[in-house]
Amino acid sequence: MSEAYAASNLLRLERAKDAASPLTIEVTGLFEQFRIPLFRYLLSLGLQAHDAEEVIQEVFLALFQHLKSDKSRANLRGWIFRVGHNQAMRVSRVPAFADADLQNTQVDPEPDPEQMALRNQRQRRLTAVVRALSEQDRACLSLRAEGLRYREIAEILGISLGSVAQSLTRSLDKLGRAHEL
Amino acid sequence: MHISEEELLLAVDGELEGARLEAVTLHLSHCWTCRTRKAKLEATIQEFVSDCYSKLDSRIPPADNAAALLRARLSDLSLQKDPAAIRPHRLAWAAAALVVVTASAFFALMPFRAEPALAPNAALTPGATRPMSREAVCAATERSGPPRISNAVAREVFERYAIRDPRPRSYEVDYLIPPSLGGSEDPRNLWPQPYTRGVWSAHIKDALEDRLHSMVCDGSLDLATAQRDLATDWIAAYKKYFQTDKPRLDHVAFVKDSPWE
Repeated sequence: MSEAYAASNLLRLERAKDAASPLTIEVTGLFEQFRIPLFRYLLSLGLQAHDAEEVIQEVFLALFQHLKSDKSRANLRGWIFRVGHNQAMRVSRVPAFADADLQNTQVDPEPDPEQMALRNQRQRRLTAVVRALSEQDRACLSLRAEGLRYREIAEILGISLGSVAQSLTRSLDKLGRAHEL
Repeated sequence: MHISEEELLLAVDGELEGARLEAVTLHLSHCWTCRTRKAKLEATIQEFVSDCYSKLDSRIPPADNAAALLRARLSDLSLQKDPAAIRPHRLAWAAAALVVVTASAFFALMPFRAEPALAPNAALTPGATRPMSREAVCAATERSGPPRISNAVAREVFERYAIRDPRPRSYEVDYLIPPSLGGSEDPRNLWPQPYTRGVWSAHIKDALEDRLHSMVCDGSLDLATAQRDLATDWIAAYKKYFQTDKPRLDHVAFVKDSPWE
């Protein structure tokens, strides 16, 4: 191979170096889009942050393989949450929505300390109700909060459409009565 | 006859269709009681989202490390599937087509080598040490970092590894056994380690070196074992000492040594 030829070949390779495959670009794009929603959902199930991050990695590696074998691209959001949920079920979980989550997040300054105390108390009550929900009810509620349709939630959790509606009704009823205690 | 709680929620969530939707909409327009219930339901949802669910955001770390690790893992996956072991002289016309599909940093970093230099070549870099006691290793305060490898020596190392025209800041000309653990500046102890190729990058090895140094100095590991494990197979050593199969997220951007410029 002549020097000149080698040089031109090298140049071509250099130019192509950053051209990741379209599939890699697609998967990293989806990662950017869904990492935070999926992260929130996994935390709501009680995963520790580092476990959630690891589960998310697994999900997107699996997604890469899924898309590589030309599987369906229909409803990738549902696919991502379903695989994430299944992976999460294999990881140890702690009670989600600890009171500690509420602290240090008060961004809007409440001028009146009495108002602030009242608001903190309301938050704690609400969070206590969420903590007391069954895992499935909490999963339904969180998935709905992430904007998923009932049909998608039913598929992700492997339950019927009716069960999703009943679960959400039950949870919101409890949440609505959180301050009546 | 009022709307049931479930039906009300279905209406709020846009899950009703056709005749049911019409009936509920009509009832709501007539019934103040149900409209009040609907408003309360909306308020509950809003309170849950703003005061509870969205609070989880504060526990989500920035995406940088995770994104970098995912890209590296995806690059490894691409490599596994595609037969990357193409001999240099065959590279000619196939190269342009291949890089498009393999999308790996491999070709970019090491255009004319058949194998990615994840691990040092044992023949070229078997590792070399200086006589140094554990006390000396631990007394050395490495504030200034390991001795800088001169450009001449770095070039020699690239030459031996047949890497032409290495890209600046893509490699660390690394000590296989770091000076902090008694490694010498002998070329047999040096190899070009890519920063960006694959999951097992120079950053990950730096984290391992740091860990081994602490273990040697707190007495939980003897110096000779640390040196031997690094020289034999540093990736296996990482897995052993961090008890993991995969690089840890917090090590992906671990920087200790300076890149080759």
